Amino acid sequence: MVKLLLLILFHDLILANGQTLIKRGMQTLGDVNLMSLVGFWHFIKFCATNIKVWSGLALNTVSLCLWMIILSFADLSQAYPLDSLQYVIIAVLAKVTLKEKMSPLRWTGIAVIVIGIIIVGIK
Amino acid sequence: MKKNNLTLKVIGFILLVDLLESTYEFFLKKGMLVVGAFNFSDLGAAGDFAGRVFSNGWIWIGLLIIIVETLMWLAILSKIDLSVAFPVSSSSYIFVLLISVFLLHEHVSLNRWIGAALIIFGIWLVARSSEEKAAETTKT
Repeated sequence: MVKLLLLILFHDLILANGQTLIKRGMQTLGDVNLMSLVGFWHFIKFCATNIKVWSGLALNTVSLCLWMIILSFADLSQAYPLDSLQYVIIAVLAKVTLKEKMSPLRWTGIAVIVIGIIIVGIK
Repeated sequence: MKKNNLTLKVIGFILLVDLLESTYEFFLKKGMLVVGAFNFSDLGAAGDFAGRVFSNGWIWIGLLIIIVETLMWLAILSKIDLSVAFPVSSSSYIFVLLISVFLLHEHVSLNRWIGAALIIFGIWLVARSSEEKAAETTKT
């Protein structure tokens, strides 16, 4: 059980840092109209050459491998609800490192989602 | 006002990303059912296994959807807060539930429906919190 909890914590931390990195890369894109051909091409070139986006995607891949390792020994019905911790870690990282404004309403919404995921996961 | 519209449009995009996510899982699973299980005791057959994976049409469709889905997610993150986009993307739980019921004809217990309802309610709260902020910024 301790092994499962530690691995899930590790998985969620890597995933959250990956998403934060991608976000930090993408927010430097600026206001680009994705519906125009020029804007879309600019967007593709930006994604393909941005080191933060690639590092974030790499971390995502690592977290996916960890998730497969977790699923290789743990019950899905146990791992899935525990994994909802990622929503809390991402919210905290978004507030601390990305300086996003977290209103009480947003925290409440995230808490309700986590409770919902836990209930879905219970047998 | 314009910002609110954009937020609603973006939320629609996130729902589409989630739908694509559930779809590629379905295609990969379909493909892997044809390919068959990986045999860990016979690593010499790994090349043969990889060959079967990459000559499978289902798998290629799945991989194509993954590329499209990733690009859409990057586009979303270039526009809105991660603390909004990520919770809203939990709608994939609802899609998986609906696919289980209507396509796979699985029995879904009552507590799963209650959990799904809570997730939808939570998404609605998070979405409202982003409109709240957009309204504030247009005021100042």
